[in-house]
Amino acid sequence: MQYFEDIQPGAVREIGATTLTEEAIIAFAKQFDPQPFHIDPVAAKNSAFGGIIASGWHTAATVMRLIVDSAIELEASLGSPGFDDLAWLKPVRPGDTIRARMTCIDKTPSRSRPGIGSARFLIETFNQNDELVMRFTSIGIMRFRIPAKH
Amino acid sequence: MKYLEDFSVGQVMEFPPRTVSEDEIIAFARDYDPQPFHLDKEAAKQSLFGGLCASGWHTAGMMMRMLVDHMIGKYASMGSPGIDQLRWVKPVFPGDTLHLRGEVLEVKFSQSKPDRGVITTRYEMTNQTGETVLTMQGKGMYARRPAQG
Amino acid sequence: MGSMTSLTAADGHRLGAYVAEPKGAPKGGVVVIQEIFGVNGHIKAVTDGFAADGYYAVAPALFDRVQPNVDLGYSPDDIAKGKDLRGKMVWETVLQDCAVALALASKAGRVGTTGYCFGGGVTWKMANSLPGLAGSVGYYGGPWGELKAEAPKAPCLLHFGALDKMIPTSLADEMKALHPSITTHVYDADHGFNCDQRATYNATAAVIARRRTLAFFEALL
Repeated sequence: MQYFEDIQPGAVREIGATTLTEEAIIAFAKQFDPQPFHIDPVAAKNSAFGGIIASGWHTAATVMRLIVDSAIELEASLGSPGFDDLAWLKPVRPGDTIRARMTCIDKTPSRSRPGIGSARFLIETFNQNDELVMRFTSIGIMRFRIPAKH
Repeated sequence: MKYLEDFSVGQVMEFPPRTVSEDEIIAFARDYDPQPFHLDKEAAKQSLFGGLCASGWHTAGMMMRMLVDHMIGKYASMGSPGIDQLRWVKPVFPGDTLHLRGEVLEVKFSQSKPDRGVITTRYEMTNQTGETVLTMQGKGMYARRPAQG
Repeated sequence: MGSMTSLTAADGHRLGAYVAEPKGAPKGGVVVIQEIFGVNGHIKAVTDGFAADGYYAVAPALFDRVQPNVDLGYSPDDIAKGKDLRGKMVWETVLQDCAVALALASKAGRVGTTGYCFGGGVTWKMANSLPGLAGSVGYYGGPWGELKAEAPKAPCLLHFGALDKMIPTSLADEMKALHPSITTHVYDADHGFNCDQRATYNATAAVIARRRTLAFFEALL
């Protein structure tokens, strides 16, 4: 998400990859999603998942970090009003490397606030076997390019 | 242990409130959403939010924790296939107290897998002044009650 | 919180330096180069900040060549004193002082440097003249005259304020055109935007620039 003028509907960006460790998975889940298959290796082994899997919210938060690190122009971003159609398609397991791809769907200038617009992005997340593990449509709000003051 | 059958359409769930601290807002933002308005009080004052506020993903995480502690954890949860829609309606500031309410919209028994089903629930999170801060419509998968005998 | 130590430059001059150590093993070293106000509270805070982020950080007192222990604020009087002191600096001895700070910081591994205002010019010069530097960052440094043309030998990251009356934004474009390998960022902020003791402090720009500086060091050190 760069400045509004820079955003191109249809443009696709790879936004990086990261590996989720079991330690990180359990730590996140203990705080935000303490279900047994996210925090207890023994219980997880006996569950339908066969072992610890990451909370879907951890996968999403991790992808958010990738977005902030590589795809947002920090001066331009005004946050997000939300997202639509999030699907957790496949479990993410300790040691999995997830990578994310961002495709701009459309952009719309704000009718009520000059110098501000919004854009929708399809965020797809794949594991190291190129399987789609998570997908959602993110909405971003951003400034128009700041005019040079000199 | 409760199962899919223990949900009913129209069922309303209220959750005990929890207060958000500045430290936890910054700690989450540092790891997962390091935008200036989530990290730094002065930068946040300059922003449209007017003050340091929680990452929306942090608010979602706090909501999930409330759900697991008081509802999901009591049921035979099989995870979630996803979220239909989530909206961050108003910023969540340090010291805000979050209240959560959910209403079951649909209970669907799986046709292909007779041991499970999916419920759709609409959630609304409000702050201490009654303003809506977050709305979400999401799905949860639960096991059916095992057959007796 | 760090402490003051004493370093000896190649020509025998003894200078003070503020050193801040990280908890645990350092990720590398960072040399922090002062503005025209000496190694004051702000520069010490910046140095402590890099230590908090895991770096062994050293801020040499460059003005010790002319006047020991310069510690100025940001009043018009301080600005006048600082400009006067800066005017007495000589590149040869400034670089010797930076070199000994660099040598100390290199005990922690690869070393980067970051400088503010006058210090931004120094870190640019260091990138051209001092071996053993993994990366150089400068905040609102310039304008530099002939310094502009000197090609850096280490990766450089330069932060500029669009509202800075002393340093036109055209300098950022010029620098980038002269040296395509460097990275420049221009913020909607004024000179001194990183310093929370100055009226021109801009927290949003400071937070974003710092994030970029840390990412730069993370990649190179």
